Amino acid sequence: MKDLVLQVTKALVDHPEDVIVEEFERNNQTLIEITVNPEDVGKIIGKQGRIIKALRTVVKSCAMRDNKKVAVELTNR
Amino acid sequence: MKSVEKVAKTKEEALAEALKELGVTEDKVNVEVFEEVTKGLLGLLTTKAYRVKVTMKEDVGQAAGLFLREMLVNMGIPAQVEIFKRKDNITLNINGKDLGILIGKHGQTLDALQYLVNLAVNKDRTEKERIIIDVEGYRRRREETLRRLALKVADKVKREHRREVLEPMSPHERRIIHSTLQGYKEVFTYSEGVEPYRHVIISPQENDS
Repeated sequence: MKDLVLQVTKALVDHPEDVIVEEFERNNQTLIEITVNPEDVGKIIGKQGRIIKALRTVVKSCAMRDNKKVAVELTNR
Repeated sequence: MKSVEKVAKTKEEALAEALKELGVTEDKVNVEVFEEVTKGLLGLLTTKAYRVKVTMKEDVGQAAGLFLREMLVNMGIPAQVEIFKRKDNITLNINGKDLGILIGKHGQTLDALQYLVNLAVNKDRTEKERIIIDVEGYRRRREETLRRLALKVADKVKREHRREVLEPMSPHERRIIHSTLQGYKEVFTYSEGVEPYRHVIISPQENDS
């Protein structure tokens, strides 16, 4: 799932070399954390969160098949 | 975008060399020609040469198909992607087994997938290409179902003179209902509510009362 998020994120930003995607497990839930260049934050969130919402929808339908809970978050480090 | 520049005594020679290097035929590229004049000793013996810049034409359909295939691999979904180039869009149809997870409730997942592929492929493109993603003809079947539903409900509204409220639909699905009933004089349609619960209402035309 991490690869999917990485592929899509890199394709949407102006600085693909700055994209970091990390996967963590905590209390039966998978957390996928995306870090991008500060200039690219809007490119991942989209107007009214439309882009990240679409990304979450696709990731969640995969997670459902695997009986997993997956959250996708954007960090600002 | 991949491009190659070659210099030769004639345009044709330069072009042929560039095409050879790219390994493609002329219809797959855009060609720009520049004349270069080199003055020799004492301004005599000027030699003319042609510099040709050959740029690969981008194949948006192929690029979109490739991107979608990579997404499917990353999702762990074995499936094939067919590419159809239409007049006003490129349709990518996904075929395989158990693809329900790609469609989701009311096609939500499919719409999300389509949105992301459109963004990725059209990034940096001045002329945006409309890409439609379908799974085993789901969108086409859904459109037929919606058209039938619209006509059935319109008939009921006409008979009973009472408005009918349809279930919430995406903007694209609502458009199908509106356009199906556009020429239907006995009823009129409008939408109410806020996304994602916005829904179409089919109402009797009031001028007959």
